[in-house]
Amino acid sequence: MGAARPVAALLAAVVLSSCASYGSVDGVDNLWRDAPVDAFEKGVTTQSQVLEQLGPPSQLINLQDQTVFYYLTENMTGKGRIFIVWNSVSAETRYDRAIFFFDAEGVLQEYAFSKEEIPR
Amino acid sequence: MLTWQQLSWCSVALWVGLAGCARLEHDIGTPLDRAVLEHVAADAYYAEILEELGPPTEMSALPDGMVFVYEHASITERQYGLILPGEVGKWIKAVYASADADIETFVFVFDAEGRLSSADAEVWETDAGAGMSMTLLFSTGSFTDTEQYESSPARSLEWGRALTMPPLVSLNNRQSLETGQNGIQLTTSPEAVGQHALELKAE
Repeated sequence: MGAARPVAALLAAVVLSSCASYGSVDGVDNLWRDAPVDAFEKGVTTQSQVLEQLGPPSQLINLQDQTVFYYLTENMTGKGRIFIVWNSVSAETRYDRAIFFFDAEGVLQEYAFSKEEIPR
Repeated sequence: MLTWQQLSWCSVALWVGLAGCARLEHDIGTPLDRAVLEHVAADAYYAEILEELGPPTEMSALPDGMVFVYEHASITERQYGLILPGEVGKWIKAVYASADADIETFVFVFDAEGRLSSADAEVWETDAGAGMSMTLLFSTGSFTDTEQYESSPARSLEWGRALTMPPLVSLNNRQSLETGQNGIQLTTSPEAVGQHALELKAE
């Protein structure tokens, strides 16, 4: 008998420790990362061409004489380490964004992609 | 001198007695580069900001221009677990949690011609709240209310949900600060600020 029970309890606690990972993706598909380099040209590309390539934007913002298409992909990943005595959960949320400014005639004025990129 | 058996029981007591200590971290977005602000011209065109920082976290139309907001938040929650004394208490796990948030924010306001009219950068650390929980089973989850820090820009995609909200919230939805048409608010803003004060009456 002796130390058998506490050792068994300690071993059980160690064995019961675990790890987990989880994640989710929200928003639109970040198709702009696959678009050809010359797909978007200031003063030339139109709203309908952007819609055709990227689909509906996450957000459409109406400025006084401009229209903005805002595309957003959200990627959340997390890891959990369960050791009973000490537990840790860490999560990261990253965003992939594209934004397009059109003039009153629907022609592209400016556009930009986020520096951070979510792999497709 | 402790015997092997005493040492073993001490290990078990330490293992179980401290059960539930946890650290939860959530990093939202990427850190902002403050060096960008040092070489942005006072009347920079909005395209220059886009070139330097990419699309903003949030943007909105203004009566005479527009505004960009860039944000990065890092939340750390610490949990301390204890097994309560007594016959009943040994089955109950009590957890106290507290959270801090590190916030970085850039704001750029542009005039009707798209020229920068004002800008500011702030970095601060704030107490994001505390909470207490008592559970029968072992679990690891957040016990502090950090929703305002973690609210996603993707919420604008959930417009249909507004129709299922309490009447005052639904009515206020037309003035939502998340649509990009009615101004912006930082994710750290409390619910009692400005127009959301109206919605509080619904609770």
